[in-house]
Amino acid sequence: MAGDIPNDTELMTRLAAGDMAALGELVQRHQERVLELAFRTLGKWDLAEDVAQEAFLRVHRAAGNYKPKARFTTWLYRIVVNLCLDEKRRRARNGTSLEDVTVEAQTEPNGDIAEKKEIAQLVRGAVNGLPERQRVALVLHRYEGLSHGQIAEATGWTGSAVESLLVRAYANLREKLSKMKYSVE
Amino acid sequence: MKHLDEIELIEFAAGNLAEPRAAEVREHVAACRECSRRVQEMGKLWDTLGRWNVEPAEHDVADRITALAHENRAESVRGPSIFVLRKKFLMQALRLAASVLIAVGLGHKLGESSVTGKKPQIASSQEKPEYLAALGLEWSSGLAWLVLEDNPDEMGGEQ
Repeated sequence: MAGDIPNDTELMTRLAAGDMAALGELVQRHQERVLELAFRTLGKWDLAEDVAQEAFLRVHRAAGNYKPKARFTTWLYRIVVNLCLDEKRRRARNGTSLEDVTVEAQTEPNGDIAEKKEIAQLVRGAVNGLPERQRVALVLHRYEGLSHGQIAEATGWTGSAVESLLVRAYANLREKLSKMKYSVE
Repeated sequence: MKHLDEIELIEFAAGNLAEPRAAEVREHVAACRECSRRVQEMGKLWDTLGRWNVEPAEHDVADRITALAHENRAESVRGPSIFVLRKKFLMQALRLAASVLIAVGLGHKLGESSVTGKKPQIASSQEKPEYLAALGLEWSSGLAWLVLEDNPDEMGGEQ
């Protein structure tokens, strides 16, 4: 019906037929979540932007073969997760660290804002310090709101592996953050 | 009821557990001091993690993506690249070469018998192989060895 908002699968069908406006709509709809996931996984905005760009270009290239077996977002997450893991491995091979999270200087005169920023930086540092797979599982679970099954689909890991990674990730974070000024205990 | 396992506790504290299981867990937590403490701790961790906010809106890449996608599309409309064409040509050439080799090989084998006048020795022995005799079968055709495992010539040589 005219005026209806097309769902992601319909946009993919239109994109496969060469409608570039459909790609623009998919990007507008999902880029924030893609950027957020990539940034939380890689810890740097420039890398997150590159990953988002490549992810949507892959969506474009794959549109002709797209089969809506799973939700579009799960498929998109899978592309993003793979790109992030590839980037991390590439950096590990080259000896370039991603873990150098710089804590921004607190310049706000307002103590509340400064404290909020400090807590955010502490959490970011703790999440960034998790092993690769734990970090991906945690970001998808805590920040993207995916269920265990959806995480398994997006990563290709088994359901029990996802559960085990989540348990270890939350335990590690509890331990790390409990040592900090803003205790979680 | 035994203590909650860790993954269920995480989901309960996060508010992801579905009913009726959530009600059972609530009941247990209310009665179990240990699980109550663990749920509280997990709830605090969940909230603390939620304080890491990010602002992806400041990093809009839509224009970059659209421009690159248009560029890629224009390239694909222009046709495959020279590299792709070269690869296709190479595959075709390899197939052709393989066909020629097979044809020459077969021709050589067939031509060998017609030029020299030698017939293939497949029918030279009409002796009944031992294993057929053992099975009580008749040696009905000179070409029958083709469908059997052993060449009757070889069998004869062994006798």
